[in-house]
Amino acid sequence: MPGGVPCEVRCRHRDPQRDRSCATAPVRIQRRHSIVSLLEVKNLEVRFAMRRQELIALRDVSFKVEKGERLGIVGESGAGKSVAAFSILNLISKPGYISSGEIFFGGKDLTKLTAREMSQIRGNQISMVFQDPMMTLNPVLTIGTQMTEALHAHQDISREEAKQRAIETLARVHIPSPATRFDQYPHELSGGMRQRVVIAIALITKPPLIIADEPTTALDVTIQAEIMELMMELCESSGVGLILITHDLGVISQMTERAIVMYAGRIVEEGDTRDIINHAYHPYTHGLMDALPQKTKPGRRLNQIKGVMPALSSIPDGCAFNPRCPLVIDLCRTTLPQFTVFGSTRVACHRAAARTD
Amino acid sequence: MFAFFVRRLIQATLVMLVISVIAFSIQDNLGDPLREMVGQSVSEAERQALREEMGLNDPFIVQYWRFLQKALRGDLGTSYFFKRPAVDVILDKLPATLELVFGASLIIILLSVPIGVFAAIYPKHWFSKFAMGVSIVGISIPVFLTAILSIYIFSVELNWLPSFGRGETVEIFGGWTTGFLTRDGLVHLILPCIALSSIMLPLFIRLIRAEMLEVLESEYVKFAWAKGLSPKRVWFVHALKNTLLPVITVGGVQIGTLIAYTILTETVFQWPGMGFLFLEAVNRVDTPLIIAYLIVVGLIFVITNTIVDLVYGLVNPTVKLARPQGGD
Repeated sequence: MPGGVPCEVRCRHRDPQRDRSCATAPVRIQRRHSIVSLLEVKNLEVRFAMRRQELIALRDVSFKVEKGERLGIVGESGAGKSVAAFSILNLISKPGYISSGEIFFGGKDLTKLTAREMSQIRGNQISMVFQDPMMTLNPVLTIGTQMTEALHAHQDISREEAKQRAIETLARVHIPSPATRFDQYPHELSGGMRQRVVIAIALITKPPLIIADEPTTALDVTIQAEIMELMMELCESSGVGLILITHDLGVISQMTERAIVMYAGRIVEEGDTRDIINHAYHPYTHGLMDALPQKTKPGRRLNQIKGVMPALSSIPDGCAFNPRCPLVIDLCRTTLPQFTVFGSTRVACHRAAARTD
Repeated sequence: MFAFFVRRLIQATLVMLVISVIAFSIQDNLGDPLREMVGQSVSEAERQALREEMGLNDPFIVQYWRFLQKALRGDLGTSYFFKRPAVDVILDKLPATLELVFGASLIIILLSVPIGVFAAIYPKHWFSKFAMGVSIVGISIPVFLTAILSIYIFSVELNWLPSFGRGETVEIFGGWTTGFLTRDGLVHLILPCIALSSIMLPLFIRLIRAEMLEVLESEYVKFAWAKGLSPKRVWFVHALKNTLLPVITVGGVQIGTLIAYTILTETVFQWPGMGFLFLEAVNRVDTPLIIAYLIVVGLIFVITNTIVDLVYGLVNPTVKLARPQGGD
């Protein structure tokens, strides 16, 4: 489990106020001063056109990613975090579609691009890392082919040069004997190695933003930590922006500077990761924090949020979290909470003030 | 590669042994071979003597052993009707049948891949729906009906194509007659090939469409899109190769079925091939010819499947034909 005490130590270490020599420091300053964000999602709504009804998977989702910033999106399964990530590149599986909202990247609204323009963004400006490295690589193509094709799709580059770049990139993600790996097939590599290859593919075009959808969920624990460390290292050394989707708050606290908590298709809390971890306002975020193993004494049952997240077809009125919320009042059952700002955080909860103590 | 060959060779030998046992055991159950050879005017005592002399009274296993030894020397007995070695009779007709199967396979491959892929990429296009509808009809109509209908339409009514026979053939490589090199031969091939492919073509269209649909939903295809590759590259490099893997395996098995269907097609079109010959042999209770047919077809089946496995191993990197270099 990447988390626990070392995680908190790292968080502190990453805090530029305390450690000016930290590599994240210049990035942070940049964020505060930049005028145009790297990515800005505005009021995004995603629907799934089912046979009988339209399910709304994402409602009124807005967030920004600054240049070189690492943003975490956290939530339970079905909260809409993957849909949010995939919709940025318009890669939502059918019958899902973006029903309204805007996604600004590099001065363009990605929702208005043609298929051809979109494919020039994909893999070139914004790369993705998928969840399960066992499924992400094509079993019948060599590692080399799958790496160089991304280059050939976006750059006018010779075969030799592309191969050189691919081998360099494999070396950057610490794959031993990269030249041999270049000619191998995915099945000849272990899961951790494959995820390194996937990360190498994402990096090879040197994009300003990478979206990683639960990049370590399918890997075993020791490999998880390695991959996270690698991604951290690569982001810091090359100033790549990262959107990290995970259900693991431990990972969020280690890896990201800002975090978004999602519930039932909406953002419920957003703020600096440090503040969210140390002082969450939303009862849902609290529940997630309490469920971390390190919050429970050994031998005790882990805390959990009682109940399950509602299905998209039966989201309750008012705040979607109200049936599971320990602080619920009548207002929560009738009225959707608006965002309130507390320091770096904004939170959509009627009872957020109850947490300000 | 060598180890793979040896393994396949042993497998093939076993399959051929089983086929030969089945084929040979027909002999005792398909009438009396003696009657076919000497007619009815021979007395019972003489028959018994002949029986003893030919070894027909020996136990099955002894007779089979004798048959096997001869078969290994290429001797599968003498046809009662043609009074010639059964193998020679069959081999004379082999080119006609193989050309029919080849023509039909060509139609199947050239049409099923593009149509199946198109129907998977654009499932809602009118052509995809049309192709799926027609393919259901195609699967449901038996081959002989398709054959007769096509003769009625294209030969009788429209008078465009000949209705029977191979037409003009040319002899190449000493003894192999081909209809592919003359106009007349090609024209004669069209209807039988279409009729023969009529069952398998819709089957393959549906198979390829279903496989392709599944592959298009896979994570690696999604990842290929996320890399910003062109649709052509995603469809034809990433998806098609994976689609064809299971299709190749099914295809290998279906070649055997195709040969079985030639019996029907050749009969309707009076095609002078092995299938037509086989049906005649059954009518005449020409047991050696029947056995020879079964064994030759079995051999073709085993050979094609070995080739298909070999091709599969070349296309699919996760199948190891050879031991890894420098390995154990």
